[in-house]
Amino acid sequence: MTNSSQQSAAIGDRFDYRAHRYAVMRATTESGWARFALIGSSCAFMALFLLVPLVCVFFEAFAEGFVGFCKALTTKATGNAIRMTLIATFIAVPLNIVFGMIASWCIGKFQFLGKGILISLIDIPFAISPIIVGLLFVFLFGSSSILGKWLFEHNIRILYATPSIVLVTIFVTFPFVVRELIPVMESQGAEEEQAARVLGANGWQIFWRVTLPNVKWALLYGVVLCNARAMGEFGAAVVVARNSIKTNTLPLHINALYQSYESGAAPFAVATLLATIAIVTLIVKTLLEIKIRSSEKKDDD
Amino acid sequence: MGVEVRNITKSFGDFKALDDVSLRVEAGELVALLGPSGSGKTTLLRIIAGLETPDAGSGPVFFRGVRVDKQKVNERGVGFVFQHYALFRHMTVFDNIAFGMTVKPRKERLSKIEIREKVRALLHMIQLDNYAERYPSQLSGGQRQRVALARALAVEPHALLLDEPFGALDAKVRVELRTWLRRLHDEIHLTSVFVTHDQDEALELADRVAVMNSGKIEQVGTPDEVFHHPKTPFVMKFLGQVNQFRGRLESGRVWVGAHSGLASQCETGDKESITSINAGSVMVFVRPHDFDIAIQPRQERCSIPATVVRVRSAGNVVHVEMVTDTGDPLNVETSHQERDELKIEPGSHYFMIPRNLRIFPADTAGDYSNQVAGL
Repeated sequence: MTNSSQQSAAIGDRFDYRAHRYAVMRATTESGWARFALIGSSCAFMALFLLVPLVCVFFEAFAEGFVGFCKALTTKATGNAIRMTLIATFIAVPLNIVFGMIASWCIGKFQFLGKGILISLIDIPFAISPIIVGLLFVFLFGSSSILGKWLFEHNIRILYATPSIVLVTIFVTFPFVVRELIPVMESQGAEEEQAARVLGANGWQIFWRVTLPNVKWALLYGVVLCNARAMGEFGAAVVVARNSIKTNTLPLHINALYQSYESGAAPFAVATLLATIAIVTLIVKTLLEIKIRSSEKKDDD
Repeated sequence: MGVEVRNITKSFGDFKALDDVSLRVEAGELVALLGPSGSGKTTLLRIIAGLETPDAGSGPVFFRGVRVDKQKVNERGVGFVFQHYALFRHMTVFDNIAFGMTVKPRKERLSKIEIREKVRALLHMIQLDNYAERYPSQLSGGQRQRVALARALAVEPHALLLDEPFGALDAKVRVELRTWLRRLHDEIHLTSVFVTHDQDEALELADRVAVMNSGKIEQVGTPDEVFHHPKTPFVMKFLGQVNQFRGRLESGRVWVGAHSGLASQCETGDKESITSINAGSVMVFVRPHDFDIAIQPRQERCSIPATVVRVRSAGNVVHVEMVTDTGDPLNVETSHQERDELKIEPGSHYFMIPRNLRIFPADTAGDYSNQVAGL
């Protein structure tokens, strides 16, 4: 057993894989100008549509100097918007984790009737425009609906208040975690859980010690995406928030500032917050992808 | 008594994976469940472990005389080795082996030091002393297999159940590990059941073999019993190669073609003695190594005239492919010496005289179209 692995290692040493791969690449690659045109045009596209706008945001944010930048970030309205965004995110993301774990566990590890329908239902938020989602909640909780009347009679405010912002955020971020977890759960199968069960573990122990550690990177990846979506949500929130200082989230606040014209650099200053979150998200996402790929590679050996 | 199941039936939809199966494994015994895929052997193993629930109306399952079929998997105290090992991929070898001990309720749990000692001892037993901190992905197939075994043994199970334990290994490692497992079993004497589709593995490793087919156990016996005295045509065909002929049973004689021998010289299955088989059509089975090759037919013996088609030398035996005068293929195994003495070569004609001949009533012998099974 050790003999054969030593042997193959010896063969591996003698055979220069890197030179081999380079030779293959050389043999199958395009001509110089074709490569230059393709790579050059993609880089130019990236710069024009992604990098330039991002730089512009930061540039505009400091158009009135550092003092103006700080002033825009420290207004009461901005503070409120940050608070609102954080509330919505900190409620939506944990709920998504719980729901995502449960749903992906059921879908990934078991066969049952209606599984396809359940997956389609989970995907609904991907398919529907956020504006429609906002309108849907207005119809559901508005004063013209039975539910809305009942809520009004009992003095419970949902629409145009914090609960509605939280609800639409949960709705639009619904599929993110579960969509990341299903493929991982499916590929890992249920054998490790069965092994843990035979060894005497109860359900709780199996979850914490076998299931969760096996999906932790994919879960984190889903959480990062979910978080970015929760903080950036605009379309649905704009319908249920109705542009009030109390219920504006960061994207709504930026929009309001921008619409008011006289504010100058302020909307851009606030926008740098979201842009920074986006950049951090990208970095974390890339790191996680590397981590996930290396752990998948380990399983293949 | 180690493990006993009685009257187990299990269906998956319309498919009957197990049909009224009973099996008794004595304490300390190593039993193989041998059968082709779809014969229900893995399902039976999983039902013993508690990973599957038998159909309503099935009989009980006993471990050491205690009824366990109402107990859940995690309460039964079995060691189960999965076909693909199912090691916890994010845990080291040490943590894998320790897992069963660390999930015990606090009252029953050993101290950390005791657990460490025990894992060390198990690592020593599986000859992987220096691999405690490795991850499963850093091990070879044979090493993973042994870790899976150590993990199962760590909880001191009432019985050890192994699902195709050598199925995913290459031939050389498989044989090594088989010998090692047999030695280990002789040392620890733990009641063990393993599933395999490899007859060599079953015959070499097990104390007793249960041959399964289509959800039923066809025969349980020592390797010698099932190999040399198969009770059903299926067992005959599944364990090693066999030639199958149509024959006739008439007034105490067995006829194959134009020549006949005394029926009393034949062996039969367990359900019927030679006298109880009705006269008429029977199936005749002869293993390739159970032929005498003769120039002339012999008196009072079945003699099957056949012509040599091909001669293949394979190591220490010679395979002779023949065709009988009635057009059926016939496979014979002989020695190099006999081949040279008789000058066996394509085209020569002989009378093949079965030394060991087994007959079954024609209606139990199954598929006749396949004259030579096991090829």
